[in-house]
Amino acid sequence: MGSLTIRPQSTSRGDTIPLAILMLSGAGIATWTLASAAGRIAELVGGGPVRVRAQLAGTDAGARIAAGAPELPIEIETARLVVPDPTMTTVVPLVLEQVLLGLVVLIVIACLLAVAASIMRGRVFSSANTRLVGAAGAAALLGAWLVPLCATVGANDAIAQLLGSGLVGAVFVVEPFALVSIAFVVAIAITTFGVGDRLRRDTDGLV
Amino acid sequence: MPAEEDLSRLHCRLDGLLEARGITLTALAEAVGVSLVNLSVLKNDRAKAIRFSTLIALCDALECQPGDLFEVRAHGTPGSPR
Repeated sequence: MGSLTIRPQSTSRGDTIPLAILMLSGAGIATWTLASAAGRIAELVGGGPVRVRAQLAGTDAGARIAAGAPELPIEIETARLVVPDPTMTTVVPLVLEQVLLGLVVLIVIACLLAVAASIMRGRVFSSANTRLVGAAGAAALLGAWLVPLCATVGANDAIAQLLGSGLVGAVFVVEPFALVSIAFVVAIAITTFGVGDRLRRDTDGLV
Repeated sequence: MPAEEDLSRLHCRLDGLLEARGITLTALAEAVGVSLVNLSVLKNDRAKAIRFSTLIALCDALECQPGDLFEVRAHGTPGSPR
């Protein structure tokens, strides 16, 4: 039996233009992320000194805020360290961070582009779109947890190398608010698409 | 809720009513404010459900009763494929 769903003739221009802009932006973000990840990986495996961003919780330091100004006591939250000769234990997690970041962005944007394309064809709610939104959400959640984890492992190792000792002052930073926010948005999106798909099935063949 | 195959027993007599009244499906669609696609689905026995508002509009336009529009065929009667 064929599908009896009566699809809307087409989306309006008001729907199409923002969707097209969204799709173009998504493609641009994906390209930029992949290019910068590739550049970072090239820097990491290039063999030279490597810059490593480290979260340093409550580390005291002194800094001149302006030219000629006296040195002021400051508290560092984030610092970019330069590791002259990074070992594999520093490089591998940092490369993995970039690979994961690229992969997550690619999956999320590919899924959302597919959903946007489906909407532009006039099919908003379907089991395929629900699965795509779920896959994008799961990838985003995993990425939000795993990418900072890899970055922290690399940064901790870089600090240990620079200090010639074990772990000092580095922390694993995952913003709980960001994670909860992503989880909330993902749950709402999956529920919306799931309920929409059920409503579509319920009204299939209704005249 | 009836099983999916039971729905094929419901036959819409829209074709006969249109012919008897000399109305085209397009004219009926305009008269009742239902899309031609949906009326075609109904006419070809491919609809699964009908809104009361659609039914009333059709009965008004065709000057008939719901019973004139539909018949339930006996078991085993070949119906239109769904």
